[in-house]
Amino acid sequence: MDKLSQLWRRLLFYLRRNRFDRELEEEMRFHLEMKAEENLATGTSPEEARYAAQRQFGNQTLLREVSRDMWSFRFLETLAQDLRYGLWMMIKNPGFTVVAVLTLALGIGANTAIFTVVNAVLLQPLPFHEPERLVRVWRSSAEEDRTALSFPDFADLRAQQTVFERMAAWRSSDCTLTGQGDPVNLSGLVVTAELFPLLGVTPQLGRGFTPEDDQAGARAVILSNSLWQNRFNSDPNVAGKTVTINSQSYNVAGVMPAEFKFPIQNDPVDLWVSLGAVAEGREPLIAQRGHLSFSVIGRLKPNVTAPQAEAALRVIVDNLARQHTESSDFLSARVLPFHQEVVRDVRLGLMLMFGAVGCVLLIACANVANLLLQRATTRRKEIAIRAALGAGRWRIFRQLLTESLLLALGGGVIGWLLAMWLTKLLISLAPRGLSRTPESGMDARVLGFAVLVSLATGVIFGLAPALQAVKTDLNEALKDGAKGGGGARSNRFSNALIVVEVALTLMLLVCSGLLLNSFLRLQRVDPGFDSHNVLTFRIEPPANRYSQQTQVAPFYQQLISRLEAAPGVKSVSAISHLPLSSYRGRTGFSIEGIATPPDNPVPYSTDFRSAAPGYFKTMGMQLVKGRDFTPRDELRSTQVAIINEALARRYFPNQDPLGKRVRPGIGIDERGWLMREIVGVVSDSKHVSLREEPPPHIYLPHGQFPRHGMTLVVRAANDPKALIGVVQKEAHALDSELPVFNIRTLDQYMSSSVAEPKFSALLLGLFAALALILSCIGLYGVMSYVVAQRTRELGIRMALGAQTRDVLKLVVRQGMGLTLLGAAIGVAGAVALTRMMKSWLFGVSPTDPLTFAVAALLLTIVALLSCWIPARRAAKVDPMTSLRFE
Amino acid sequence: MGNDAKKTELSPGTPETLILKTIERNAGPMRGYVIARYIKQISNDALQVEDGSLYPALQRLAIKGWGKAEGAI
Repeated sequence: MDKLSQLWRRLLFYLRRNRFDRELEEEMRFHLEMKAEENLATGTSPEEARYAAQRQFGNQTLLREVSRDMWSFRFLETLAQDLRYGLWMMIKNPGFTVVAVLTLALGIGANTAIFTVVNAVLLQPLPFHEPERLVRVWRSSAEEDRTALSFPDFADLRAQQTVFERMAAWRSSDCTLTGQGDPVNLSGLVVTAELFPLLGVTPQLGRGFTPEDDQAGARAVILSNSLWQNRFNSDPNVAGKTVTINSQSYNVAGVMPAEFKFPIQNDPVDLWVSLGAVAEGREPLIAQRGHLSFSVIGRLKPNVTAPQAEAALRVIVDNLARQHTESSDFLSARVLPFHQEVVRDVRLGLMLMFGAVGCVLLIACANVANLLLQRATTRRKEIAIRAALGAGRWRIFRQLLTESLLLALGGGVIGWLLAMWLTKLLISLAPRGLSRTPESGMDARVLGFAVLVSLATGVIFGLAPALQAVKTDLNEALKDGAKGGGGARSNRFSNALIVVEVALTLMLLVCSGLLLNSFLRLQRVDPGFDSHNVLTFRIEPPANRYSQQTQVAPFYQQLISRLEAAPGVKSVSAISHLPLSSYRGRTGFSIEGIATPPDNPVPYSTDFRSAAPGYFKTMGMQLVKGRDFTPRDELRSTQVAIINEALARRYFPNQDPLGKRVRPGIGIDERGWLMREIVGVVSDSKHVSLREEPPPHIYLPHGQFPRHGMTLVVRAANDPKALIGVVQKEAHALDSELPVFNIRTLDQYMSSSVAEPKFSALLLGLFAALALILSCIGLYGVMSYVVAQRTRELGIRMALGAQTRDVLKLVVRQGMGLTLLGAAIGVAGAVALTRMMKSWLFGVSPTDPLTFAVAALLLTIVALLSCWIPARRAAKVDPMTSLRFE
Repeated sequence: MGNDAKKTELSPGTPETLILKTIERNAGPMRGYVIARYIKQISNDALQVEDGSLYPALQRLAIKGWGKAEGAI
């Protein structure tokens, strides 16, 4: 209460402070006059009387200030003063302000941008109900640690387990939508009904899936929000309508909300299809225990951990493996947190970026600190006068720190704008691997981060100069002829900053050099096929209109021959999936004549694809032995296969594989798994990844192993893009309801497979370049200052006979000394750090001497230039002028 | 507010006490100089409020609301 009225009075005072000043001054004047009169009465002269009165009275100004201070909101007023003065200083020195603020903006902006991405990808919880209880369930075998499951295995796990509240499964499925505008191919997901309840999401329109939808023949579909908006015009009555997908009628059950995205780490899925759609037919997908194509997710019961669940499932898996031959290699289940799944590949990369950007910020801070140090010494006089007038140490210190914080804030604001732009840029350039891209970009956490970084930055670079300024010897500073030069101490600090900058820059240069190197080597890897002048596209005749036995193969044969007849086309063929795609179909197989263990009829494993005749020729792959497939290789003729060299080396060492027979564990009809004669051996090509040696691979002729969805490869005589129209025309002529999708040249396809290393290299290279520029500027600044400091000395030297050359050498030596020291530290640091990048590098060791040498050389040359220019300026100055320089 | 507060915060002999007593005893506003002179006279020169502590003391009183500054003239 008391305090409140005090506050009130103080407030009132503030509003009337000018009047208070006047009155107080007037009051004191009266006091003084009266005192003087008193003295006069004792007989001294008027002047003496006045002086005596003043002496008795004391320091008027101080008294006035003290009186005033008692009223004011001390803290706020001084803060306001500091701020005003700081702003005024900033405006008075526009060059300095601009450089400092921009430098900071660069550092802060880059950091904030990267943090935005890190926040969205790593830190945000998944947008599902209690996401920490979600786990992925994988199938683990001797050969592969994590693969998909088959539906029967999943069903058994689900039925027998006790550790999950719910389990659900999904697999991807391409869907062709017709009847709603042009036929279009959509990416879809076949899901069990429990998936949406498991995730804890409900549709915004209509209903989710029910257990009935899991039954054979049930064909329901749930649309994504974007599909509903684009193709259905946001029709509010869409639930219950019938649509045609893959030439079959589906019932639209509902629409998912806009933010919903599942699976979260890939490109968005357009629709979710009920399990019933793949549950029918003679040999439905869900009954094939050997077909591993389902991904499984589970929600742990409240007190169960992932390792516990894994142990519990292992027991069930053991039983399964014993009961069913197709599951005999199902060793155990792996249960891993769903979140980890999403960020698996990206975490290390993002952390690396974060570190790199942190270095850039540090360098920026060091630069601005140096700038401020230099300015502090220039302001020595001003500060000394202030101290003489009675400013306390703390007051001065606070004043300088406030100025620093103002700069940092300015840098933060501009950096924020820069960050928004940079984030957009990052997202647009980022390859698919960057899951969960930040949608709206900026949220409270990011803003908080930016503010924090700005403040911290301000304190970091503002502290040293402020401390330095406070320590100045006042007498020294007030002397005329005191030049700048805060003494050896501040110079040493400046030098230390430069050394640190150089070290960090070198580390960044080395890291980005290594990545660049890797990327270039990756690009030059010979994939084993000729990707130039080839156009590819995918087409998927639906199963219900094209029977696998009788219609699929002829369809492709017709399409291929039509395309081959077109002008500008050299050869055409088809393959079930292109090499280096995300597809990795594997199957077991046995070799005729070699006994197989009783519980596993197909003990060896290989990758497999279905290929039309002429595939190898079209792709520029060599047939090392034997022959290619022909149209005569059809369902009822002798079953054949072509293997790659890797398979021949591993399973037929020192023998001729031609004529030998193998039995792959895949079949398409009631005849089951058939023995096939090897009729050809094809050269190895990288079909899994550019980095790895190709594993064994077997090709089956399309005529004997028809797949509905195939990718066609068309080798053009000239520019493959010219054939796009032709391709669409011929496909449309054969079947007007079949969309042609994923049309691109093989070159385009190949460059997207190196998109990730390319992106990383580019990004890190950008940061390294930034660091280099900033260090350069910093070094230039420091050297310029040193030269200015030593102008007199250099002038004397030149007057005494030193040549331009000598002066240059002197200055450059000083600068390069710092640089080399920094480089040495940087090299040591880089050697220690690059070890962590090992998994990213291809064909280049983490301590590749060439990269280190080039980075060091680049840095040295740039640094040399930065020292040279100020040195030349020094050497050019007329000695007489410099001698007179103050 | 009130006399209790005054009692706990003021010790006899401080400038504030003396000033307060002075104001209490005299009607009408008084200038700083006049207050100082009064104290000196009343105590027969025994007590002298230094000029340096007079004005801050006045402020303190005004802040606490125990006296009120009036702009005169």
